[in-house]
Amino acid sequence: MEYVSPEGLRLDGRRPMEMRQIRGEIGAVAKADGSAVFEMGNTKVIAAVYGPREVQNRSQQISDQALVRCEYSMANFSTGDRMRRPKGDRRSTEISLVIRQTMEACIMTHLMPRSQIDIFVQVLQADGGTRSACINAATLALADAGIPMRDLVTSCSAGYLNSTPLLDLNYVEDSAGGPDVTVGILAKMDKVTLLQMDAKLPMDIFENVMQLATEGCKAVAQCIQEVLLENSKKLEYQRGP
Amino acid sequence: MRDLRLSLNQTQKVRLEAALEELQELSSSAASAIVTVAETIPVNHEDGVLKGHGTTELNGEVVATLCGVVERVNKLVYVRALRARYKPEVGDIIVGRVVEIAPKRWRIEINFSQDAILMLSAMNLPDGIQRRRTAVDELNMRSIFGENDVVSAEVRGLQHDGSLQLQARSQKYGKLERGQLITVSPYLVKRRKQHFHHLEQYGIDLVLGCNGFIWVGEHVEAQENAMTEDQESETEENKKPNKKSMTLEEQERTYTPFQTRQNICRIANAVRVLSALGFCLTVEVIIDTAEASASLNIDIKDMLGAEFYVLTAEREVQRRKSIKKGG
Amino acid sequence: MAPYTNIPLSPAELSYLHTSLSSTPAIRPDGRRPTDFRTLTAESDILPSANGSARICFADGTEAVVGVKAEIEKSSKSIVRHVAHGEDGQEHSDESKGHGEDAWLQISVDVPGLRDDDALPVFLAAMVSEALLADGELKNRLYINSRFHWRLYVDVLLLSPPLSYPLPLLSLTIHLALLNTRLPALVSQGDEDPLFNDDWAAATPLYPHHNNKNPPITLLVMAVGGNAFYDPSREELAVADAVLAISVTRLQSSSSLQIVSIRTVDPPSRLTASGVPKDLIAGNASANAMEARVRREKDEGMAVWRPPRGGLKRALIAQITKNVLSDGVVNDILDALVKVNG
Repeated sequence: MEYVSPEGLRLDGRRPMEMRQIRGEIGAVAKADGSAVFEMGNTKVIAAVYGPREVQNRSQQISDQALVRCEYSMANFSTGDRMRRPKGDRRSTEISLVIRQTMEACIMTHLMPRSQIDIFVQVLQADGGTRSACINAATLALADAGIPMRDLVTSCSAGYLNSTPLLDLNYVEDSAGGPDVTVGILAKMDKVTLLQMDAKLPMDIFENVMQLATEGCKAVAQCIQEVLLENSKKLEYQRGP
Repeated sequence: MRDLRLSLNQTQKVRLEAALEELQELSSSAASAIVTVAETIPVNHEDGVLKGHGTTELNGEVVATLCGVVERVNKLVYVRALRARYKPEVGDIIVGRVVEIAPKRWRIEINFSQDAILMLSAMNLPDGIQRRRTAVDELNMRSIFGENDVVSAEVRGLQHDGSLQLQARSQKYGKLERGQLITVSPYLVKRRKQHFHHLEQYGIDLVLGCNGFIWVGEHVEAQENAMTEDQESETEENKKPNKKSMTLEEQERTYTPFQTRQNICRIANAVRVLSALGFCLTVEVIIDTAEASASLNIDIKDMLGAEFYVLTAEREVQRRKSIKKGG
Repeated sequence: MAPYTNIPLSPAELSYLHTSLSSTPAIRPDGRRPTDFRTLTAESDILPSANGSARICFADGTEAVVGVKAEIEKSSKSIVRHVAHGEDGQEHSDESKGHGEDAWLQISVDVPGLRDDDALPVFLAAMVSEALLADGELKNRLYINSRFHWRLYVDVLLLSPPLSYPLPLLSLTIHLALLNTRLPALVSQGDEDPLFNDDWAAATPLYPHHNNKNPPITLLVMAVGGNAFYDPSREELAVADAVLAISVTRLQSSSSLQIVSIRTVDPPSRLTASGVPKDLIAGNASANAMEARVRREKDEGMAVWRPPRGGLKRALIAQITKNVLSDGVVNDILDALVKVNG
């Protein structure tokens, strides 16, 4: 199957190095301490953050830092076919763990000892790149909740089909069976916190693909910075002197 | 508009946009520097700057860890977060809810990263005598505060492990009853000299907790210095017991009058509208809003409607303009 | 009934609320009238990949998203037998071709933070599906021919932890989602393998506009003293003497309302702790233990908050049901939801 036409256009009309349209919005869930909706093309994810608050399970309390918990779930209607997903299945657990580790690396947990931060991520529409969208939404929600972070974590995916590195795969390109590299970086510090890949790639091509994904991450970071700045300005001038 | 989901018609939307724009213009002259996470804060390095809350060092630069406003006090640079959990300071007056009764202490939820602790020794005993707390006192802790009770107290200090200690020794602190508790974001409540307000014209007590918990309730006379009248405690009992010495339950026999209940609803709705708009909550603004609604003959329930929402925004613009001219 | 605990209100606040709500005229904490609903925002058709979808946010911050998806399923042999026996007295509707089965509708409720087999999601799903299946209307629409039928999956996602009992929120969102659910247009005929029109624009709505009946909505009505209140908030539910879940549907032709089901809901007020009058507190010199116990048993000191005991008066239920049918509140909500749909 041809994923990149001879003219260099992908199935949805994008160029290989082009990302889908990204949109972030703060304040989706009213009763959460912080919440955000993040869209990458047709993939739509809602993240809600509760905390830092008292640890509910006293035995899990850590005396010198905050406990970070994360729950990822895909809505039954999120994919093309309606699929019944039990909450504890392997894929959800794995992605919950990945998101938790990524966010925990950038939250300054030592500033909030003996407390708990809950991150709930729900996928409303899945069209490839759900992992990345979840991390981006979680970053927005954590910033909205006023939780101190070392840096903004952003994530993007890239692949290699028809001998071309492609940025931000959608569902069709993702299920093509080619390699899918997901990268999560700390934008300002320029450090990688998450790197996942399935399938095989030669080393030099891998470097290209990873570089492409990192560029994508930086573009997302730009978008997130703008959204946060806009939101903070609005809150401040509304509050008044 | 996070809290009140309102549907505004076209004219209302236009009016609201105009009001918000004017607010923006009024405040932009104040030139507050807003930063987001991982943004560099411009500092003069020769001056030896002290890095306060919300900042960290990265490659020799000062970088923000929160989204908020940069505040500079002498050599101290810190970032004041906007929507965040309560950040306690010693001496703050807070309102909280008891979640648990533990040996010799109460655990109180106050919108902080942990539950605050009110030690039994930091609380007045019901008989008002200063004495060592005995085991019987420990067993009778529920007679002072039970679970789910709303209490007002003062921040005593932060322990080294991050937990918060409260004290409620003065007569003005204690259980709050006969009213409503409203939660708002802590950044909307400014630290002032007075947090307990008695609104005489409504007969209402308004407690603005620094942690964002606001209590609107029927006015209760504060008992004058029972602490110094140890010897006279006998004669006090012979007098008709005033309201504070009865517990809340007995006071219910003297029901809150109808008008006061309505006033409580009105003030509570004023607080809700102001917090939905994101305006700073001070007593003046709250009373102003409530009076405006009464004078415009707006029903209490309509205070949470779209029209009053837009009206309040416009009034706030006027108020800030007049402050700016006068100040 | 699903346990609904965690009402963080002190006995003093409960007592104050109860007195406010049982006075005439009743004073609700936000000043609403007993028949006033809080504002809600509703959007429909938000999920392009679903047959129908809706999202509703209540004023207290709770939100729900519903996605409706339909899949073709082969009917079991029993359907063929039923049709051969002729129709029973179902509602006269042009499209009634035979019998739907209750199993063709599957509802799942997803609450963040709770497992799938926890009490609350299971009960909510059961209550909502009971209302939808009660009049047999919905399942009949899923019939294609004697060999195939549609299987309708209604997936409800609560976006916030449940504050008040989320039943009305879910019911309204499902109603809105079903109103804009469309099924592909059938091109084949009779009993042959179903073939559909590829053009989504030709899809037929599940509840066509000219149709007589619309899906029912479920409302919570609570009673305190002799007053009944619609759309109770969490604090109000905590002092309720009784709570009823009433499902109502409207006949398009006559605009009259029909009650589809009534259910009592265990009021959370029964789980609250009662206040203790001062003189019954142990350790106080004036009371001795025996006397205190006797007084507590006799429920003396009635001024203090006590969780309600006993049931509902029949006259009160009759009054509430009469009000629901004639108050106009339900009509307002249904009209508003139809407008959202465009």
